[in-house]
Amino acid sequence: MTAATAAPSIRLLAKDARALATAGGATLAALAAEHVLRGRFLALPMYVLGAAMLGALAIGHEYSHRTLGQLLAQPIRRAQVLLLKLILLAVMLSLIAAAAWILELRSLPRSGDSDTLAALVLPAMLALTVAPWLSMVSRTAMGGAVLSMALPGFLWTVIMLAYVRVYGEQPPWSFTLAVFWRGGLTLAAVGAVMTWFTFQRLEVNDGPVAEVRLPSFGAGAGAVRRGSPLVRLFWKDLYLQQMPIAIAVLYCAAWPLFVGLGGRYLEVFSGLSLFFPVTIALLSGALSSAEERQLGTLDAQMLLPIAASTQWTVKVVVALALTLVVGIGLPWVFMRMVPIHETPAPAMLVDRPFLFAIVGLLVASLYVSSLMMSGIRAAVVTVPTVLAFVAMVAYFDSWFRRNRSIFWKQFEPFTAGSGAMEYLPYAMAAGFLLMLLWFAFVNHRSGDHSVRRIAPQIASIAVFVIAFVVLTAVVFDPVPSV
Amino acid sequence: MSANNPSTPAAIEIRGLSYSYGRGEAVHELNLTVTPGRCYGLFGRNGAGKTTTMKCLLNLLRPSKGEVRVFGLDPAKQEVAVKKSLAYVPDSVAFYPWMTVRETLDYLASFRDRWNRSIEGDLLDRFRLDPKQKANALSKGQRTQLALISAICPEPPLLVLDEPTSGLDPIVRREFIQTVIGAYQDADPGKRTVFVSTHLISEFEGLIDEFTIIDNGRELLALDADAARSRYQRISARFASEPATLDLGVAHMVRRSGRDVEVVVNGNASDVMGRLRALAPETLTTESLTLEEIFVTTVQPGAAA
Repeated sequence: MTAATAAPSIRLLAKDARALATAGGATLAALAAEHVLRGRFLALPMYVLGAAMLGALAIGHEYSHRTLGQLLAQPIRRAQVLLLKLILLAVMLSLIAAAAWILELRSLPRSGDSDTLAALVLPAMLALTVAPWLSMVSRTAMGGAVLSMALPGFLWTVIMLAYVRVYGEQPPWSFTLAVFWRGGLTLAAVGAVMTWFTFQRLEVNDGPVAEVRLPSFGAGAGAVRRGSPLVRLFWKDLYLQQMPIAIAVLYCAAWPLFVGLGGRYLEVFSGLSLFFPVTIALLSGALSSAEERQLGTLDAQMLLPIAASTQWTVKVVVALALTLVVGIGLPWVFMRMVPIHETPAPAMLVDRPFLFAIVGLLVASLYVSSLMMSGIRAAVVTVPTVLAFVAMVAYFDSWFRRNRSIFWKQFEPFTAGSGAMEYLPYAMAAGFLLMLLWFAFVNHRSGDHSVRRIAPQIASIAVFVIAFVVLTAVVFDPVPSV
Repeated sequence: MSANNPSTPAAIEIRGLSYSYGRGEAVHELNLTVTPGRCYGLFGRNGAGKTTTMKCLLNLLRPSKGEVRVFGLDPAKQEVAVKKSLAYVPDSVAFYPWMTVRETLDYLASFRDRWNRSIEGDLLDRFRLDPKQKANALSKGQRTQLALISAICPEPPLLVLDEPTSGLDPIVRREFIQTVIGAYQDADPGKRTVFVSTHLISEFEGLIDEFTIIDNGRELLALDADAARSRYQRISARFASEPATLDLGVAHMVRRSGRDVEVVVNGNASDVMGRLRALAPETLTTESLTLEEIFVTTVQPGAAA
């Protein structure tokens, strides 16, 4: 007989490091890709998103993996478990904060050093203290991430609105920053205390009140029962999309508050309105397939006496409808109701390339979701995947245009500038998205996600990208004929 | 089997335990005592409150009312001491998907003061588990096997098993119940306790010393297994011709077909036998009910086959 050799603390740390590695690695990769693309615009949102995901996953991954009971049944003090989790989380947050600072944030335009400090420190602090608490309250990692991002913004807006109500004018920027700092610190303190006490009394509860859930949609279960199988599928898939719907509800609630504040705050809201469809597209795609796997319902769904392709179509339609109607439609309606002349947000929302980019993001997250075991993992992986993909395409496009003389000496343009060919890139991109959707469907209905199975899909994607770059270069930027 | 020594705390002591999920009460005023060294069965239908009761023992749920003690300790206040003294196999087993079988066992072993590597190797061989296999590649039954290995290897004084054999194939199931649990208890007679909830009552038949049957979170019956077998009996009688009237008191009529009569009695066998004998049967036999039949009779009176 032998006693155990390695210290439980080391094992716990190693286990949690592995659990957070995907989210941490994906955030670092996304920041690196953003740096390569010289974007900067997305660096801060990606850092905030990454920090919130890490914070929510610290305890939330035990829910995702259904291992909370096993963890809490081990003979080790809960306080020690929580402390180790938070230490590791702090290290991971420091890593992504350092990366965000070095790669992007230090060069962002700002009105003062405290702006950047607030942008860097507050998300990490709230991720460390508030996100674990909210993931325990909502009993999902996704819920923890979304609520921890929404709660500070919501509180901040309410305080701003209160200021306007009391003083009859917009708060000065210094007041806003002070609220940001002190409010953030207060929230972090509350979050820290609540995380501690909630974890100490945490229950492994699979009963009827297991999770914070939105109420049933529509007229309730009775109405759903009377519907056709397609209608039932529709409601089921819509129910899977609780997080984007919850975000949409928060967005709707924030709108009158920002309108009440007016002026510069309305401009901030219009800026946020451009991120709103990105978030909705990302989450609705990410949840579509992976969440079925997470809930353990995928096999049963696939065995229903209804074609798998029909089920997949319903899934895609729900995600697409949510993205276009809620993600694009809502902000567009809000912007039209209270026009903001200084920002191009309303026009951008219905701009063809923007719409295409949003649908592209949705399809990409659907594809990633079809390979993942949980929605939050799919959301985390999609961002760097898409950015890396765009970076690679951009790099290949630039390289090809510089070196195309290697491939041909002269080329007589046959369509440059002609009307019909203007739509060629869109037609090709649409074809690409359909191909991705097909691959996602194949992955969704199959339990085999091995490299051998996925490799042909990656090869097909690469071939399509090469064809796309070559063809668009030929059509739109041909080498002048000699 | 150990005597119920008042100086030795019970392995499990549950007094007036209640637990509610929202408005629905999963467990209501439950009482039970498990003596060290015994194998105690907690039987009930789906949703009867078995898993909730077990989770309250492990401080995975906080009782709404009542108190729970494990070896005299309060799981909420002396959580680590309680958990050191037991191992738990949940009804739904999950492991971290990125770990192999070997890594999972090493991970779980790291929390324990003792871990029997020779038993671990033996059980891995018996269950034909590949230590290099990833946890996410294991079948449901193999995950259960891994959970059982991880529960047995620390050799705790108390094993808490929630539907431990669900998903196991018949060979492994039989081997686990008859060999592994038996060997676990025999290794330190009178000290190692098993608290098990199961639907497969017949498979644990020879192992169970005492049991409690619960339904809708309430105790229906708590008995020593031998006492239960002598109390619950099936009496079969065959008459020369169909008896015109039968007054058997409180016995449950199970079957009456022509000349044959079959009844189940609960502690009043001699009375019923006397009444049947008075009718001059051709044959009159009696046999003990199995625990599964006692369970069915208790939960669904009149349904015992």
